[in-house]
Amino acid sequence: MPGENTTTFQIEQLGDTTNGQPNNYMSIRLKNTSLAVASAIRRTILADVPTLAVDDVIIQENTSPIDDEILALRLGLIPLASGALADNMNRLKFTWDCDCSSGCEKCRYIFTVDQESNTLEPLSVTQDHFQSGDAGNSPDIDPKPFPVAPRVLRWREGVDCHEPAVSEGPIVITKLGKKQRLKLTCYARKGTGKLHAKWIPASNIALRRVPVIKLNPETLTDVVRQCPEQLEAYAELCPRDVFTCSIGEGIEVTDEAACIFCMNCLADLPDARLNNLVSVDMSTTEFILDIEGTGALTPDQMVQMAIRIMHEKTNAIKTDLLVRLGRQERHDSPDPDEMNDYGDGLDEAW
Amino acid sequence: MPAVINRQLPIVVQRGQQHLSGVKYSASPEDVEIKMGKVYASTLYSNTLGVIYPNECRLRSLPYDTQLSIDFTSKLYRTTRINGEDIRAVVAEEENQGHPTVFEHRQIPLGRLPVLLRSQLCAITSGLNSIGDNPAARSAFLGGIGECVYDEGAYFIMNGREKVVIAQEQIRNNHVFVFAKASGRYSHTAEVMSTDRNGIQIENQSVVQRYGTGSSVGAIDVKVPYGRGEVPLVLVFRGLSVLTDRDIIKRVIFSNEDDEMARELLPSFELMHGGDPVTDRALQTEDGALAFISKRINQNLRSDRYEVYEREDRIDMARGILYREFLSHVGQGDSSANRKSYYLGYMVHKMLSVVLGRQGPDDRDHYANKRVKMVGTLMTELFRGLFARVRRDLQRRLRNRLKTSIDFVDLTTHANLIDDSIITAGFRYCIGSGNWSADKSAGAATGVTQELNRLSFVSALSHLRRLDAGIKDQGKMTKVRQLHGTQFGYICPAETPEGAQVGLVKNLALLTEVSVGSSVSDLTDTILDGSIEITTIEDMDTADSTTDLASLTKLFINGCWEGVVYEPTAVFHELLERRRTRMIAYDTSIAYDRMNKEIRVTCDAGRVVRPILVVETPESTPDQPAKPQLKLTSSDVRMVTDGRLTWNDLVHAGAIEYVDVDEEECACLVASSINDLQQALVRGDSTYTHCEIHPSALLGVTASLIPFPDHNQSPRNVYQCAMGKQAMGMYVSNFQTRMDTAVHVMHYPQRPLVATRVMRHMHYPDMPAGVNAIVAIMCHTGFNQEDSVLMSMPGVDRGLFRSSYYRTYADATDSHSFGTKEIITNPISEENKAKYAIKRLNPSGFAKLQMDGIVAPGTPVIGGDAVIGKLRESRGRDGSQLRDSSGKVEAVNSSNTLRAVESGVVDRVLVSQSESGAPFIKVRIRSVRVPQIGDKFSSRHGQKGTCGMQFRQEDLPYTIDGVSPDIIINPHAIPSRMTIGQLIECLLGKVGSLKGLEQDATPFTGVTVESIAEELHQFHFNRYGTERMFDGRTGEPMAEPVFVGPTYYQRLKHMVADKLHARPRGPVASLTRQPTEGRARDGGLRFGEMERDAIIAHGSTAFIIDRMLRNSDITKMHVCGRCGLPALANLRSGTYACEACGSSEVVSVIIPYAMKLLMQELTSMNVVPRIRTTDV
Ligand code: SF4
Ligand SMILES: [Zn+2]
Repeated sequence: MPGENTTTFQIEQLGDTTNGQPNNYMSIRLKNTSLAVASAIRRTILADVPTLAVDDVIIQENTSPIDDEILALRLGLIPLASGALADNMNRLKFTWDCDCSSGCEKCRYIFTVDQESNTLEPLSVTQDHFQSGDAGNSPDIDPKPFPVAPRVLRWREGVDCHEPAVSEGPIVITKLGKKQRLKLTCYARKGTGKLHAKWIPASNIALRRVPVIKLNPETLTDVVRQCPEQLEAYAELCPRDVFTCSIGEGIEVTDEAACIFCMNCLADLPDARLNNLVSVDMSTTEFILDIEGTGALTPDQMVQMAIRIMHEKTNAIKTDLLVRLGRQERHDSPDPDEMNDYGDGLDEAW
Repeated sequence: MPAVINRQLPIVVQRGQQHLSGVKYSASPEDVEIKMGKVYASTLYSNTLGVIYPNECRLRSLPYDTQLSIDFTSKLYRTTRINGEDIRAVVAEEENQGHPTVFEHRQIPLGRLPVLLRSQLCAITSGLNSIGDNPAARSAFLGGIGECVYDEGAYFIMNGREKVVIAQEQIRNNHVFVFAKASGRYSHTAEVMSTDRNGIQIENQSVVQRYGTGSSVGAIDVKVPYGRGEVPLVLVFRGLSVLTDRDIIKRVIFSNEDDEMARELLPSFELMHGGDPVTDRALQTEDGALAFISKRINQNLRSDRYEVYEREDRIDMARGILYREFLSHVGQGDSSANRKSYYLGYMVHKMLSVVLGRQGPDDRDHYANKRVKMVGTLMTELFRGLFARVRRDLQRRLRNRLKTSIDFVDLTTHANLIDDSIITAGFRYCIGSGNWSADKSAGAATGVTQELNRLSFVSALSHLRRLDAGIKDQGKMTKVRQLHGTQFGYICPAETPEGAQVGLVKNLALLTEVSVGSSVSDLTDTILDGSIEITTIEDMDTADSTTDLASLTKLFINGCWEGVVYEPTAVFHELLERRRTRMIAYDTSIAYDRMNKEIRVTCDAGRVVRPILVVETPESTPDQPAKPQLKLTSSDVRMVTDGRLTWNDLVHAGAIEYVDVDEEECACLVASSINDLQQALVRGDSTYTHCEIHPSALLGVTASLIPFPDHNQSPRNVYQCAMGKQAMGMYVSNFQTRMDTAVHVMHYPQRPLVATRVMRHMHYPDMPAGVNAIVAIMCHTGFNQEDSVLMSMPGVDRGLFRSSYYRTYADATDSHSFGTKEIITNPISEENKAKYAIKRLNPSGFAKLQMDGIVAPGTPVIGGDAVIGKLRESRGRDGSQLRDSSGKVEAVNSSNTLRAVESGVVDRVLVSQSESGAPFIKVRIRSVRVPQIGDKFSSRHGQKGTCGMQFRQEDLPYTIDGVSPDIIINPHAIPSRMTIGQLIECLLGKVGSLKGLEQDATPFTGVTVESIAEELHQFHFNRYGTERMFDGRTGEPMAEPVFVGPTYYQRLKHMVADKLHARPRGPVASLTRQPTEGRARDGGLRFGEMERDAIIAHGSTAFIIDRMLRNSDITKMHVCGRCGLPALANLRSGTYACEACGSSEVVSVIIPYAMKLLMQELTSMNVVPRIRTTDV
């Protein structure tokens, strides 16, 4: 049946796009697919989706209290807007793929920072002080970093909690005391999460199977008849409030998706009569993928790019297989590095 | 501690007020008297540059000390004989050719006194005093002078190194110890080590011994100080003017009914009637007894053999020993004899009580029997020794000078009689080397000072609170090492090193103080002011002799028996009242020992004391019956919280009182927590007299870092105490301004999410040494087996546990070796090449030096690179430059190069001057240490592990929320070690991270797992911290839920980068020609005995030859084929001969060079080793 075996996506939740910031959170439900495909998307986003990040820092002057190495790491970890790579991943090349010998506008992007404090108040040098300069950067990418609001989870109302402190401001690189100066040049390059975590576009990806929770009607009837007073306590066993208990009616599954598979509702029950009241299973065809971005790419860009990369990789295998079977000429150079030449016209995959 | 130094100095100097005389021989002898006066310690640290603060001393490798100066008066006396009497009077000026005969010297330099940081003499203290209490201004000041904001001081700086004086434990003085002897002639001894009342006189020991074997079983002997043998007890009594047997018995046996003890005393009397009646009768007199004792006095004490002495002189001498030295703490004058006789009686009584089984022998390890010598005491002792040397030296110089002054005596130049280098050098040597003795004698205590451990902030704190039992004996000595019940609350039960020093090195508990000691005469005056009913020994003696001492309670002040009291409870309460009202110093101990009927009031220095809350029964009022209650009220607590009351106010008010071990054991019943007390009060059967401030205060500095230590198996807490000191973090707040030899600083340390309440008092949240890592406990892959841990590579990439390692190289031009001159310069500069012929120059390592011979900051350097270039000009015997044939000056390269195995970037360069003004350079190298496989990590529960693998993000397991752990440890680490505290920490950490609040993990607070679980449930997590995890590699859910949560992890200083070592070939030692040892010398890996045994067992002899000969010290040598001795072989000319036997039959043999050495050694001791050869 057409469509039966086609993976479908359903966007469950999308991050805020207010304040002019791109959304950095998305939850999607994959249907009609296998774990292999779903897991591959997750793994590809983490390992192979390229982004930009500061890779080399040349420090001309650093009289700040922070050592050079620490500064360089901090700079590297600032998410750079890599949206330009989303539509064409080759807009910037990997250094090792580029024809140049020591960097050119096709394979790197240069920022400079030059700040000096003249006041007693410490001066915060932040990502806002990045200057793109005239250093021969490619004009069609603008990886200027921007602040990303972290996703705030409020776990429970009415519990003695600290209000999560959401840092609104730009990312601070260092603070300068009076007469201290920071002058440096950063080389941002394309890279993948395989090489260093700073190129991972997602700060959090969770892939889980969709829970399937079923009440056993016979046991339920028995329980309602024999020990209805147990049901409320039973519903309380679930930390995610999957069940709702209504007096007299018994119990029902109201928030199936919230289940965290803790199995509290199955094991070590207070009353043996509650055994087998519910069954908790995981779907083998339906998955939920939660993606939270760093700000380098939006979650949908990540998924698109991941799929393109996967497609390219499977295509490469296909081509190789055909060549080996003698059904096709290898038209390009068989250089495996060219694997990343994703090409155009693959958009039908999306 | 500053108080100790400030107070002790004048005391020591008072002892110096003695007459020193150089004698000019004449009919009417003149003498010069120098009387020492006031001592001044300068608080001005100025040199030409202004105030010197400690950090300058650290940086420039200077000692941090201050000038001591002294006033003294020189007087010229003459003794003339008028009417048969010697009159000593000051000589008139005219008779001294008009030169003054009395001269006051003012503030003459005496030497330099090392200053304890933050003591009253310290420049920081005076600086802070002028600032006041504003914390911001104080830290601004401290930051400004380059000090750590949180540093507490209490160490010295000697040549730039921070030196801690470790407190030394020793047995208590002035206290009678009765021991039962297992072997030897004596069955029991009662010993007392006496010092004088101020605790500064040299110790001497008096012992009472009871024969356990031989003909005189039960007889009692006494060993007096300077004695050569034993003296029968009765004779000592008679020597102290207690002549009649009745009086002796009265002093020993307190009750007339006590026949049992009387029988025990009988043999001692029988001993007196053994011999010849004439002698017996002679010995019944005081003189007779003294004459006997005099024969038992050490020969060395007398200038001539005693036969030469008149009997009178001998008697005087014996009397002197008895009156002055014997039991010297009781008194030292003629009037003390009677007190001493009573004290001796007390000693015998106590010993006989043990003999009769009425009380047990004393326990040396009982902590009430220990005293702790702190810096102040040790410095005072040292100063006393050094000052004595100054005086001896002064006396010698004065004598020499007076010999040459014929016409007149010039007193005005006496200032230069004082050699101020004695004290300066003495202190510097002792603090620098840790050998604590004024005259560098061999038997001195070693290791008294140690370099302050600056690995982490708590390690330094803990180092400053360390105690050393001072037992260097390597024997088993298990008893002293054991935790004694009396140490509870005073000494940390968890913090002690493992191995040889276990139990000997201890650490003070958090609230413990060591008593500084207060004036014993003030104390005695206060107690014996007449308002308390005390019958003194003197009164006792004159009173009715039938006084039944056994029923009375004896009062001791600092171990000295002062008298008896009839109403002990009333007296005890009166004394307590006086301490609570500050008539008696707060750290005085008042112990009412009901069992032994003694009240012991002690105020000496070195007792460990700790504060506890007082429970009191207020006066009953008509409407309110007397009920015990805590003296501390809730309004007090509120006022403390508001800052209106301080700790000292509470101590002053008597709400908190300091007790020592003796007092606590005898007279206090301490409720272990407020709850216990309250329950008892509610029940109405409270017998508590005190209450603990908090039970967790029984732990020391490092043990207080452990969350829930009360849930761990105790050795795990011990391990953590050791590891907490190796954890890297922020060791001082001023690390950027310091140049430490080798330190680690973690880049992003975090304050622990799960903390104990006392942590903040140790500034742990400000100076943390660890990270709240997300830890999962699961077997995932095989890479966390056997205590290894899996780490998250993205975490590491983002800076998790990243640290910097700083090492400082220092060099100064050194001019002490005669005939050389050193210059800091780049040895391969054109200029130097033209001028010098340089030996030992390896040109490759100098590329990174600047023209001035120093590397520039920011330069990457690797092992072998010179960081400070230095040339030493060779000089001839006459000090002239040596030139080679081309006229170049001969010089030797003595540059300072980077350690072979290290590398990094030049971080900071300091160019300064040494104390003598010579150029002085320090270069700090920095290298970033990214966690890698093999690095060591540990939780706070003695669970250490090395990193076994790092997984990339996509391969890490993750929870349903997408959280992947930073660290995965193996569940097998838990069951056998029983570190339940770690599991609770993790659970509570999870709650803390969800709440966004620090969580309390103080021990003994009664937090239950169930309550944490309930909270976690409220936050939508599984109650017991487990979560469903998904394998990142497949996306498959894992079969079982996994226990995950934030656990505080420490990165320990042991890193593979510092340990990794392999060598295919390399240097050999010059003596043995075997490969060198150790990584630093690029040494070989030892193929030791056990390895050898294994290979022999395998029968692989060829491999043995390969390891032990060919790849080691293979040598070819020639021996005579006939006689087997080494032969001459000239390989070039092909001539071979044996010098020993003349044979030309020479054989070449292949031997280990070590064998050649052995043969030579044997030859040198006239053993002839021969190598017999046969044809193969
Ligand atoms: S497995 Fe846990 S989360 Fe899921 S329904 Fe049962 S109790 Fe609730
Ligand atoms: Zn390029």
